[in-house]
Amino acid sequence: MRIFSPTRHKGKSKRFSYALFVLRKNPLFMFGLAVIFLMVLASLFPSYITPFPGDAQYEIHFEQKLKPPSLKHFFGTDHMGRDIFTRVVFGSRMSIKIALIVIFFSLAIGVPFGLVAGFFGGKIDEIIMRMSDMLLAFPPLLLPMAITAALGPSIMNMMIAIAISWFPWYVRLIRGQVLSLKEELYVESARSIGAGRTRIIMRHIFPNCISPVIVQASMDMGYAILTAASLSFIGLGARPPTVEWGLMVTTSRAHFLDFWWTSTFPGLAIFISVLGFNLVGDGLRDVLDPKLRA
Amino acid sequence: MHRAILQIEDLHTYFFTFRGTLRAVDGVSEELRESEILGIVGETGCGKSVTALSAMKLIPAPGKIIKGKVLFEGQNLLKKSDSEMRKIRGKKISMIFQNPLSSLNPVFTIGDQVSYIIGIHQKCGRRESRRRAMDMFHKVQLPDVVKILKKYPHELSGGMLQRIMIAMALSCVPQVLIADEPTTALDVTIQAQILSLISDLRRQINTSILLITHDLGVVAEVCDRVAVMYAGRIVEKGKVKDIFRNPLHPYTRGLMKSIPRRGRQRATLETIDGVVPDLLDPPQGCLFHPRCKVAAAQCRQAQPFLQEKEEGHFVACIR
Amino acid sequence: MVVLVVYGVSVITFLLSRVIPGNPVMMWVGAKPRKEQIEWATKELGLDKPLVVQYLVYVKNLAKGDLGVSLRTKRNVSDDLSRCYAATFELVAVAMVLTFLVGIPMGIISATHKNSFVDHINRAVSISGVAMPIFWLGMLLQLILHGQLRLAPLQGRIGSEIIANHPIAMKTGFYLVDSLITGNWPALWSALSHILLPAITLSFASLAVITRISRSCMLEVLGEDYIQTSRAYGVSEKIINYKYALKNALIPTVTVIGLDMGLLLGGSFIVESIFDWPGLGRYAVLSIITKDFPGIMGTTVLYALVYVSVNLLVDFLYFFIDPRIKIPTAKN
Repeated sequence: MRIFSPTRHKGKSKRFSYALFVLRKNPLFMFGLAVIFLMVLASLFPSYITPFPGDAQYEIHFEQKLKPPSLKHFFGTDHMGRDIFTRVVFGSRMSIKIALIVIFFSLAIGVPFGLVAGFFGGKIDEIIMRMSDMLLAFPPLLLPMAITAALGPSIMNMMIAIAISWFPWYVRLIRGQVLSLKEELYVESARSIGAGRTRIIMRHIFPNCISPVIVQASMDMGYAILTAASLSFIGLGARPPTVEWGLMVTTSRAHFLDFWWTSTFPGLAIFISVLGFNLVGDGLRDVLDPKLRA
Repeated sequence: MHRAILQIEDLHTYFFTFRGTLRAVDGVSEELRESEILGIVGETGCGKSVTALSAMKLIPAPGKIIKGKVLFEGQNLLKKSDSEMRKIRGKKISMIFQNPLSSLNPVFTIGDQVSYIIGIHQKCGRRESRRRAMDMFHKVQLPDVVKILKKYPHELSGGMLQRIMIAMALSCVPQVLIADEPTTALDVTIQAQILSLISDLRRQINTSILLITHDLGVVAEVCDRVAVMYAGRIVEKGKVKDIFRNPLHPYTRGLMKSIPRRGRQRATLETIDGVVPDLLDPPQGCLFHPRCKVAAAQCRQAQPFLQEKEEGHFVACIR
Repeated sequence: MVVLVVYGVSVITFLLSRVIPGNPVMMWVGAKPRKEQIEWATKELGLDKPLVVQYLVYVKNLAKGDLGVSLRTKRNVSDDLSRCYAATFELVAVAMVLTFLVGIPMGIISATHKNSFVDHINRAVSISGVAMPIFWLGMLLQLILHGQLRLAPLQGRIGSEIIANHPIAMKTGFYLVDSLITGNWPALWSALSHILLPAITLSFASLAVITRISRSCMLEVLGEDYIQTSRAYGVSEKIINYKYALKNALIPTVTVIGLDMGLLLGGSFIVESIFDWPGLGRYAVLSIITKDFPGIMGTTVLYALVYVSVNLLVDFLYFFIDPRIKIPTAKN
């Protein structure tokens, strides 16, 4: 039974440095972190890292089409003669953008709803949960597909669609946390000294909810990239000539059987980036709440 | 009548963890005699359960039995292979645990679990083992014996479950029964029933019982002899009468004094100052000296050994 | 509660379809329509009525099982769906069998033999399985097993020579079952080799999840008190692992079937597109791309219904497997 809210009265800096220590010892986490770091670097300065930055925009060189990986073109060239390595690097910028925007929207909608549902309970809770259940009744990918199709295929619509399909998970997550925290003693003590409801939510409940949300959000960034790539693969997201990994894979379908590099490297990029986020999320979970560990 | 059935000699069991080596049992020697009830008493974490588990060779990683012998039927159990131990466990040496609800598998019926054990040790078929199970249930005074076989653990009360465990433990008429805090999880009235059940059965079947507990009251009630453990060692042992009448070790005296007694007017409850030592980094010399009221300079220097002060009454203290 | 969810699903689907840009009338009528054709089509499609009325008509038809007429195929959507469902069902079923047959033992062995070879493979699979883009995996498999090694067919559900020479008698609609019961061995072989790659691709992600969960459940169970009791009574490790621990570990694992189903259904869209599998997934994707809104609505509703029912079924299953849970007798 805690009288004092844990996040406010424990030595914050001590926990932080212990957390860093544990994380540093985790090789998988460090790998994931390295991947993300590379991605961010690639998305901030793509023109400086790549040999043929023009290939990511409008340049095409038919005379160089479908060349295998070499020292000049690390990942080979695609059917329009564009350097795949360059395009993959530029693609990371798109992926990071997608990940950030999707997660931002999901959290921006999901967290407040979850807080409200959990804290106030009763009718409001019922309504919010029913609506979330309705959205969650669709198997994953179906709803983003349908919404994107309804709004018209474009990257922005795709991001909105994914965010709409995902925010219910956060509603549920936060609501669960709030429900269990509501019973804790320190909420009672805060109430007994006359703290207003908003104050209780913001100062006491919310800070203690965020750890599972942080874990979930970091892993979801990877899944956002994966879902976006899948939707682009079907043709519902990025459209040519945007550089997006899923789109690159789908346009290579006509050639990949004979020219393996055209689909392998973009796909590999997706895989490794999602892996990176997953590993980081796992590592964070081990540190923030070992009880959640699978 | 004083023949030793189970002899533990200089047992050392350590746990090798990331943070260091935990000396859970550090030089324990004791013997369990024929037909007696020997109590092992001490606070949580003093090593009593680990001692018992070591005797059964049930210590999980990262624990390891470093040194010592456990003699039973003329052989050292610690040198036996796993398959040989399996023939002994449940048949010649049985153990019952503290929490009967978590000690039984929740998704199998009582009948399934108990008759299986009887079946493997007594080599009989299903029907016969069920019959013998019901027999044992009668002996432990369980009502509705046939119905119980079909029930699941969560459908029965703690007292009944503990009786079932006792029945299971005694079904093969073992020579030794180890009872690890059998009454701690039960309420006081049930506790009394279980204890009297245990002593009755001891008389009927002639089993020697090793009773582990933190409750001196339990010791006073049923035990013949007792060993007091502290931080992995035995600090005092002897007949229950002698120890209660004349506790020699400062720790034992502290334990006796801290029992609230009816009728005596006491202003405050007596306690033993300080906390149990960290077994990863034990104090020098006598392990109890930081908390001891009569500690002297020599106490910090060397480990005291058990010395016989009265007949059959041993203490590990130089004071 | 379920009714409410289904109702919600229908509302959402309906709204979605009405938001789709692109005039369905134009799709229906085709190129260079005359004014009367457009008017007739509008009336025919019921688009001249107010939105609420349209919704009510939709629900009424839904209750009758009438899902409208596809703008793309010009056939009843319900007919289209019933034609497609067998292919998807078969694929998902095989994928699920693969997931459980491989995933659960892997997880269990991983738990009982910690840090062994199997454990490391298991760990690698669980981590990579959920990060792997399904389409990439599918294409890789096609590349290696078909392109390089010529071990498996590229796409389709059955070889074309089978349709010509050894046609399968349609009894259940499931090629594997039908060819088996009619003793049509060349067809069976062809069907098996065709379902191999799509099933593996589809099952990979759910395999990762199941194996991780069964491993952690098993580990948790092995640490429980009653396992120590079994050891204290001389029960052999083998029996402990495969009888006493297993049953306890399987119970929470089984409840993941619902979630698993979702992964498989979600993956079906992509896998069917890559392997040209004539099932609901491919139908859904085609409907979406061609803006065939009755088609979209029909498949969405169907998918959602299946997903919800499987989850309900799993909840029920839980009552039967775990003796600690009783079916609530008083429903409030």
